Amino acid sequence: MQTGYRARTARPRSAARMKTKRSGKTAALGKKEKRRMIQLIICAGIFLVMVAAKIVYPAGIDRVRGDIMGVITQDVDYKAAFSSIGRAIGEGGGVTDVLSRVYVAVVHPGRTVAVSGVTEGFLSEQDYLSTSAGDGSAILNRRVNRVFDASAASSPEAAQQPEAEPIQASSESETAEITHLSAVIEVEPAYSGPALPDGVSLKHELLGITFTSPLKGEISSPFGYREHPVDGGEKFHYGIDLAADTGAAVGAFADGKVIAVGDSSSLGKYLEIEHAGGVTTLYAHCSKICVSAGQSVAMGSKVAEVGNTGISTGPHLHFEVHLNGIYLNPAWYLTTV
Amino acid sequence: MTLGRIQITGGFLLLLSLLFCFDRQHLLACFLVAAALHEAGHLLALRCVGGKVRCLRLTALGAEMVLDGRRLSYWGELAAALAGPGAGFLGAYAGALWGARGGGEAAYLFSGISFILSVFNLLPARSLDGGRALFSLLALLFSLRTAELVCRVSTVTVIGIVCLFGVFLLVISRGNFTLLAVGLWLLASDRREKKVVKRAYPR
Repeated sequence: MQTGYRARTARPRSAARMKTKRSGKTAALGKKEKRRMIQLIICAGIFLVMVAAKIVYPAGIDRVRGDIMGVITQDVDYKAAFSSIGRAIGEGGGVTDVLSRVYVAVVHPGRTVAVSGVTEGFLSEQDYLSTSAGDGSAILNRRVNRVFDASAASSPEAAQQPEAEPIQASSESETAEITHLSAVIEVEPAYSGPALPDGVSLKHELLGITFTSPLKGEISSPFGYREHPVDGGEKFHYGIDLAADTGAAVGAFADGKVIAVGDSSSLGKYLEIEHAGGVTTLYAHCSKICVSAGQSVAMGSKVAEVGNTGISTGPHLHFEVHLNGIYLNPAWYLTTV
Repeated sequence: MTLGRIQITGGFLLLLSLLFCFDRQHLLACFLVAAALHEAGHLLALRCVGGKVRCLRLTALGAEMVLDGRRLSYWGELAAALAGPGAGFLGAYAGALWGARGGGEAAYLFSGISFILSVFNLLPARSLDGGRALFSLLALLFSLRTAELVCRVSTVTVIGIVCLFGVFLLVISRGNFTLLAVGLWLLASDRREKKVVKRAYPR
C-alpha cells in the first residue's frame, strides 16, 4: 500500500548500461534482466488469460471470485468500513470521530460500523454470497440498501415515518375482531425519544397469524435506542435480545418457510423465516442452525440453538419481527416468562 | 517493460487483471485512483524543489518514482515526502464533500480509502513517507545521528505494532490476514530500503 518515491540517485553502473543500449548493440541481457523479462512475460500471459476468461466465461470467474473474496475478506466488509470514514469527513465529524473510525476500519473491520444509528441490519458481502435461497437475497438486499439509506434517517423529515400498511383481514370474523381490537390497540405508545429510524414502527400491529414465542427467556435488551454493549454510543436496536444458555432450543415463531440461512460477522449464525401475512422473523447469534433455506417449518419446531456468535457479549437470541418490511417491536408478540 | 518514462512490472499487470476480473466493489479501483493522486502530490512537490524524476515504476504494491541527479536538500525531501499524504488528505476531503452533495457511496469509499492511505503513509517507518519526513526534519533540527537513531526506533515500533494488531485481527476474525500481511510487507520493504541505502552509501 506504499506509494512513495525512492530517492535513488543514478549510479554509474546503470549509466554504463544505458550507454550500451544507445550504441545499438543488443548486449547480452544480464541475469537480472532475464529474470525480469520472464516474470513480465508470465504475468502478461496471465493477464491475457484472465481477460479472455472474463469475456468468454463470466460465470466461472464469478464463482472463483466468490471463493477468493471469501478467503480474503473473511466476513469483513472493507467497503463499508472505508465508506464510514468518508462519511465522517463529509458530515463534518470531529477529528476524534474520524480517527476512531479509522481505528475500527483497520483493527476491527468486522464490526458493525455506525452509519447514523443502524446496527444489526448490516451485512457483509460474504453474507450476501452465503445465503442460498432465491427470495432471501431480495430481503437481504433490502437490508443492505437500508444501511446506505440510513443517512437520510438523520433528517427531521424521517420522524414522520411511513405508517404501516393496514392489515388485510383474511376472513369476516377476523375483520370484526380486528376492528374491535384496533380500537383498543391502535394507539401509538407514548414515545418521547429521538426520531425513529426509517422503517420502524412502535405500534402493536396485528399480524393476522397464530404465533408463539421462539424462546422462553428474559428480555436482556429491548427494542429501540440503547447504548450498544460492544461499541458504546447510542444505537437503535432493531430487535429484542432474549437471554438463554448456549444450546437452548429456538422455535419457529409461526408456520412458514425458511428464506435465509447465513453466517455474518455481526449477526453470527442467523436464519430468517417468512410467514403468512407479510410477516418475517429473524433469529441471530445462534450457535447452530438446524434447518436449511427453502425448508418449511411448523410453529414452535426447533430451528436453531442459542449461541454467542457474531458481535455478542453473551449467549442470547436476537429476535426480530418484520411486517411488510417494517421493523416491529417483538415484545408485543412474546409470552413473558 | 518501459513505455516512455513509465516502467510496468509483471506484478502490476497481475493487479490489473485482478481488478478487471474480480473487483465489483470498486475497492481496488478507488485504491488505484487514491494512489495516483498520492503520487501526483509527490511529483508536483518534487518538480517544485528541483528534483528530477527518472521514471515512474508501477508495481503490484503501488507506484515508485526513481529520482535522478543530486539528492534533494532536507527541506526538499521533507516537502516532497509530505506532499503525497497531503494530496491524499485533500482528495479525501474533496471526495467527502462530493459524497455529501450526492456523489453516492463511491465518493465516500474513495474518500475513506484516500484518507487511510495517507494516514498509513504518514506512519514513521523508514520505508514510508512519514519516516522520510521525520528523518529529514530531525536531520534539520538536530543531527544526522539523532535522525537515524530516532527513525530506527520508530520504524521498529511501527512495524511491531502493525504486526501485533495484525495477529490480533487474525485471531479475532478467525482468519483475516490482511493487516498482518501489511505488517509483514512493511518489514520486507524496510529490509529492502536498508539494502538500497547500504549500496548507495557504503560505509
